[in-house]
Amino acid sequence: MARLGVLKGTLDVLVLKMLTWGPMHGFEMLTRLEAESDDVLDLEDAALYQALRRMEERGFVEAELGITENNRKARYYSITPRGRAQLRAETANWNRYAEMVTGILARTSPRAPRATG
Amino acid sequence: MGLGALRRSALTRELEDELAFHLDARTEQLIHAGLTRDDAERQARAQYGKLATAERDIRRFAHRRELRTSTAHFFDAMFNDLRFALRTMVRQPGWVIVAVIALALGIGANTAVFSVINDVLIDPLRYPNADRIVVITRENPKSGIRVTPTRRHLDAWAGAPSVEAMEGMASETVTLSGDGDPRTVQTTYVSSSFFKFTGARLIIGRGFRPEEAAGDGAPVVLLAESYWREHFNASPSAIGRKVTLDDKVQTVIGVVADGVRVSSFGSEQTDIWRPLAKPVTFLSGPVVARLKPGVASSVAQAELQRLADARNRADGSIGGTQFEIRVAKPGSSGSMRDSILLLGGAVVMLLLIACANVAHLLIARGAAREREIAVRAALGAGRGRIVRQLITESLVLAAIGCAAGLAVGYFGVRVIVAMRPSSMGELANVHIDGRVVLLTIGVSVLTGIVFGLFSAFGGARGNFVALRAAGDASTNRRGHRVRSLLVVSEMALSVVLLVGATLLVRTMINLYNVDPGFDTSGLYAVEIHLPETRYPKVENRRAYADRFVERVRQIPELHDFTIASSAPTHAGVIIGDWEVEGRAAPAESPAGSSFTFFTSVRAGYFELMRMPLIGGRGFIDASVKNDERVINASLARQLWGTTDVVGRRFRLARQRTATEQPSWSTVAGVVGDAATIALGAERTRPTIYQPSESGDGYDGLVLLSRVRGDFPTAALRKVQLDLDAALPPATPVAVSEMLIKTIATQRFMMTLLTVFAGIAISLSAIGLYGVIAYMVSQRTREIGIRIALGANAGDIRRLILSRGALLAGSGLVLGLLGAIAGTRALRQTLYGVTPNDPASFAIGGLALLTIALVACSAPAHRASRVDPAVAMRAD
Repeated sequence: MARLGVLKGTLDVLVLKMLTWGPMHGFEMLTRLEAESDDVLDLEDAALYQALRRMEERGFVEAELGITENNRKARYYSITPRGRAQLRAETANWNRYAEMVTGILARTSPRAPRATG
Repeated sequence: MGLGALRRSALTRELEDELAFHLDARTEQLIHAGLTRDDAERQARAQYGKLATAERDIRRFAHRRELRTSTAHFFDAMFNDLRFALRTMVRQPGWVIVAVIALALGIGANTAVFSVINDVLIDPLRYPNADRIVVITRENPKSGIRVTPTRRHLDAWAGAPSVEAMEGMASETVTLSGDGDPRTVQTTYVSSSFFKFTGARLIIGRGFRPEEAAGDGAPVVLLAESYWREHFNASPSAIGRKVTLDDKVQTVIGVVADGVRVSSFGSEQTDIWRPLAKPVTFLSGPVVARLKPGVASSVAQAELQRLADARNRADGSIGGTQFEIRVAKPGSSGSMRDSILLLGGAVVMLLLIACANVAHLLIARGAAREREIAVRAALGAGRGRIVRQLITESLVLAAIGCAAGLAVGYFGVRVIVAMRPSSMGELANVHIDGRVVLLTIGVSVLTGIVFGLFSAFGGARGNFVALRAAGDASTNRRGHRVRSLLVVSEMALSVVLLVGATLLVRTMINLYNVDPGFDTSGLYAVEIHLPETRYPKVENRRAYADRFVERVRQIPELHDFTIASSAPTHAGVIIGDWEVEGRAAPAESPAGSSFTFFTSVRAGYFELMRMPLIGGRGFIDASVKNDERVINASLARQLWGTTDVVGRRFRLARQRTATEQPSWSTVAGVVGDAATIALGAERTRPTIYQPSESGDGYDGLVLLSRVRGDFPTAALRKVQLDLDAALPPATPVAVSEMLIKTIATQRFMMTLLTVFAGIAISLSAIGLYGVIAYMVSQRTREIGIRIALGANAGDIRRLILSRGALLAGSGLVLGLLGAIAGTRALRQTLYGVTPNDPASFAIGGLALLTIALVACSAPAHRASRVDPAVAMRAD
């Protein structure tokens, strides 16, 4: 099956969710995403870093220099309390949206139009 | 990697490293999956995407981030500085209070005076398009006296090309009747376009229509807001109501908001506005006009002069005196301007003194905080940071001083408005507006920065890095030197103000003692206004006068009385040159003025007033047919150069509009000069006295009476009401009070300047005290040694006082020099003293030395009580 490009706006919430599992650096997140999505996700590397910068500016994540297992310096990102609040809100929105779409797609016939007036 | 950014900050480097790390990690991953190194690298790059713009993106992001953090840091630092400044101030409130008081006084005085300047000189009229508004007067080129233009001028100037709009107005006091007791109201006649011209607001109703101001004028009036509130309860039903002005019924058609400035010589608040129509033949106050955009005053002036001259030629009138037309910005002339600018100079000096005082305090504090500052420097605060912190403190102080100053200024303005002399009617509307507030804040910020710099660099300076023992000689000497200089300057400025105040006080004393030329003891004047509507002809007024005299004769307390056309300070004026019999041309008046004051008097006037007769006699027969005149010594000297002129004849030079020659008058007597308008300079004005049984003053008469004890006000009131119930009875005024009112301006100036001088010297004294006290505390050890070596208390006291005397003396000398130059500005206001009057300088100097002595006495005394044992142990 063809890989799916990421839907607008959902990359952020995925990144935030991953960061709740612990601080990671950019490359780590990419490999994780590839693993978690069963390689369904077709994501340009640059897009992730852009998302991270965006969220850093908005205060959802913060960055710090750290050491990898290979003793190399890397930039580690972690989620902030604001980020957690954003994650909760966006998750709720996503679920509602998904529910709505699934609901319409599952219907065999349209609903009766709402009475007006 | 090829990321060659111009300025690499830490963040930029971090992000670049991140990118490099990613590419490496991806490459390793691909190598692990089986690709060659080259292929892996290529694929890693391709997989990243947007590599070309990566560098730019990094830089942009880093830049934005840094901007935000540095601003955050800046505000953070500033906030910290502010908190620290406030904390230190709260911990030691003593010096803060002293500094704030000094600032409040200095800034407050400036705010008050600037409000006056703003309101009277800069934009006194507050009409829209203020930059194009001008004031038009006629000026006598010889004497410089300005008068209003006439209605003929207004007509001649209609349609002048350089003028966009022009307004004249005429003010008149009339009697309002039909609404309770008759009372006098102030009315002003204006055209239908006047309120639009002045930007006045109509509260209810409508303005005048053009046709209502044309022809004979319609009987409609507009009420002023305050009048409407007071007499009509601010009710909308006022519209349509009738009021009777001088026996003419008028209908109220609207209410105008207060605050319409009527430029006039001593403005009164207008109660009722009326349409300016043909029957109103006079104008009061200058004509105001709005020039077309880009037209200069000089151009308009030349044009209006041309039109006026053309009209004069067409009318065949020459006019005895040539007037030139003057077009000027409002508020730009007059002695009022000079007085106000004088006050401005004085308060600036006061502000400088206040700032010097605060600088003192800050320097003293700076010296005391040397240790603290050195510690902060050792802990890593850069020099710039420390300076910034000190300046923040000063700005906080300045901000507090600004707020306090605005409060002081507000009350100052209220005081000024309340105690303004009636000759300075323009002060009635002075208030603090936006411009004044802005200037006050600006001045405060400036002073804050200035004495902040003083405190940062004038006191403890130099070696921030190392801790030094307090009392290091070189630094303290420098701080001490600066403070001494400040004190000397303060005292010099105070001396200038003191001398100025002394000069004005002496002027006031002189004016109070001026001989007005007549005896004021027990002399009262009752000015009765007979409106033209009820007394249109001379015969009506004479009839009233005769009946009035009869009734007054029956009041025993008023047995010593006479009737005249005007009270001594309200004499009428004749404009024109005099012609002397036997000489061809009109006498050229040396004073350059063609004004002669006149009063119509009855027989016995000069005896009642107790004016000295230099020659001849007063009137025996005061009937109007009498061609005798009594003139004063000034007029006699003006016409003949001597006062021995009884019997000589003179007359007014013929006006060009007159068809016949005026008749000759004979000098019956010569009297001494008397005050005709004001005490002081006016006594040399030529005056002529005409005989008149009824004291015919064209619009009323004045009762002058010498009374022992109280004036019989009730009896006279009854007489007036009996004679004419529709006239509001006039109240008696002591003539001595009328005279004092004329020097109200000088008294006002004197009061203000004295207050400023008082504040100035107090601040200087505090400054001197501070310096001397500090000096004593610094030299305690030395004093202890001296005492131990045998010096007694007196010696120590003398030592300290001599230091103080040195400072005070230097300030005195500088101040006296400054005063010699500065008091020249007072020349116009002084009377009886020269600007460099030695006595005043001596008094001012003595005052300074005395106060300096007092300021130094406490520290000197303390120094003399130093216990040598304690002193030498202390460090």
